[in-house]
Amino acid sequence: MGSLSITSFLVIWEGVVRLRLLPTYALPAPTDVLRALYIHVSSGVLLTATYHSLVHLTLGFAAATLIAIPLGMLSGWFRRVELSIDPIIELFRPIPPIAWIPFALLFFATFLEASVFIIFIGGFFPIFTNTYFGFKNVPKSLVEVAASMGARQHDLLLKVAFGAALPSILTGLRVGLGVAWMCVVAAEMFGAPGLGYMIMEMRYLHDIAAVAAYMLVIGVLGFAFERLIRFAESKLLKWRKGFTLEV
Amino acid sequence: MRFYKALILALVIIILLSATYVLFAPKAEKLVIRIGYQPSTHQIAEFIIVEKGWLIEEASKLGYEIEIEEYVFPSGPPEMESFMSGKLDVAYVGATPAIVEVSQALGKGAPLAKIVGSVNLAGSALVVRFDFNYTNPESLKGAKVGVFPPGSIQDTILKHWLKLNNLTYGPPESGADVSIVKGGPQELVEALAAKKVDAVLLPDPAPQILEAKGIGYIAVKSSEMWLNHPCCVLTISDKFISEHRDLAKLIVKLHIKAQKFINEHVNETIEIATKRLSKDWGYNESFVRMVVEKSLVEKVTDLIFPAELSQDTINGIMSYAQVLYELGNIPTLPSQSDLFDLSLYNEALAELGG
Repeated sequence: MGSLSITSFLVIWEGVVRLRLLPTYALPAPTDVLRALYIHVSSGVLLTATYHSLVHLTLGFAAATLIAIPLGMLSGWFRRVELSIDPIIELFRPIPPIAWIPFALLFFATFLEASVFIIFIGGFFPIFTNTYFGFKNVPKSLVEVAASMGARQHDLLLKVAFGAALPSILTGLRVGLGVAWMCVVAAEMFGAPGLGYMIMEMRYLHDIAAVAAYMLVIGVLGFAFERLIRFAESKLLKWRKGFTLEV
Repeated sequence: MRFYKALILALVIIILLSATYVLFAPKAEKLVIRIGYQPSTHQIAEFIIVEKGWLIEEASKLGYEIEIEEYVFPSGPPEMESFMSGKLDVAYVGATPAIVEVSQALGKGAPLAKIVGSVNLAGSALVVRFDFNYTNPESLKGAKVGVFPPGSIQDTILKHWLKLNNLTYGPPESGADVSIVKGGPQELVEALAAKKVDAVLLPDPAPQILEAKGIGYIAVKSSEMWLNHPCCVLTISDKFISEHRDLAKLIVKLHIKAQKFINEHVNETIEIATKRLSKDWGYNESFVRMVVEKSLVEKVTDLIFPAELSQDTINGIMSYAQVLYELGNIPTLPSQSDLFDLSLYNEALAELGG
């Protein structure tokens, strides 16, 4: 069913462009996009750009995960930590990641550092917020039972609460990865090599088919990342089978 | 009584005649002409045509009531993006962005930017920070150079020159010999001042601004990178030409007149350019006047304003097309007739007695 609808969509899109029902200089046909994809893959340009984007994503997302999860844990578990950092988090959370671009370009010496910072900002807040709520919403009964069986503070935190909060943490990682990936493209539009950079290059050369080809690659990679996290969820949350409709 | 009747009759006749004239007399056709330009001394001809009111005045003689809408762009590629989407009728722009626009627009129903006049030759320079030791092109290895986006004159000349000197180029941190950073003129001036880049290749008056502010010095002129290279051109949309050929011809004639004016009335040209560029750049007029004088009088970047579109310029522009094709910036090589509307240009020149 899915492939039929995609095929129908592509056929209609091709027809609309070829029959000049919409301006062809602004909307490339699917075959033009595939041709551009072939040209950029065979020249090696697309693979190089993808490599740079993945490096930026890995560094930025890893930094966001390593900082957001522990901070979310401590905020969700210890009231004093929550009260201390909540105002700062709520002040910065509404600021869109791309608004940080001018600051990042001036503050950091290299485009790599600036890009990684923007991606970090993009991934941090969803991971932090979901981790925080995951720990905040750990069922009291679980903690009381574990405590009554002699579990110490660090056991309660790392073995009981962490396990209970894991579904929420993984949701945060999935959302954070999606936002971080969008930020990769935005950050690269301002100078760092990668898929975002190539979109701007092709834009200035009015090669709209190539722009669409790079957008397609970004979409496919984003889809792949999302599936990767779902796969991780299915393995780590096996115990939820029967509890919920998913996994 | 008879007198009053005659008076009333006369008044009625006058009113009827006036009403007839107002309702049925041929009216001037109101037309908005959208003109794109960049904040550069290269495009002073545009400033002159508009500031001196020539276009409005001469168009009214053809029966047009003209309203001019001007749009300033940081560089040619975004200007041609607007042109391609139908937002401009006339553009003062670098020859290479026009070539890229035509190459991508051909056969797709978008307006084509037809070259109908030469605006300037040379007039750009590679400005290097004082603490950067530039000795020859090789000394740029490891440097970050700021330039307009791909497809622009400066980007094309820089890449061609680097290739001739066996230097590779690419985005920052890509491992190439020279890292290329894209931006607009003000952005790149600030980037050089903040030491985010080591050099910039920009058109006048940016090199003069950078020298005047003590940020850098002119290391290489664009005319040394590519001898007597054509730079900006006057383009008019093929759609505008077909719908208003008489107006398009008028614009070409006024452009030729403006080019001659620049060469014959330098002081007045400096004042017109100062007034416009101080507004576009946001600097005070005395500073802008000084840098404009360096550009037009001292000619530190060899800036030339040819009145006519010579065969040498046409050949130079066709060479640009070849270079753009080799750089992979255009998918196919456009022909001379794709790029130029020489019949319009020659008609305008003939009517001027040239």
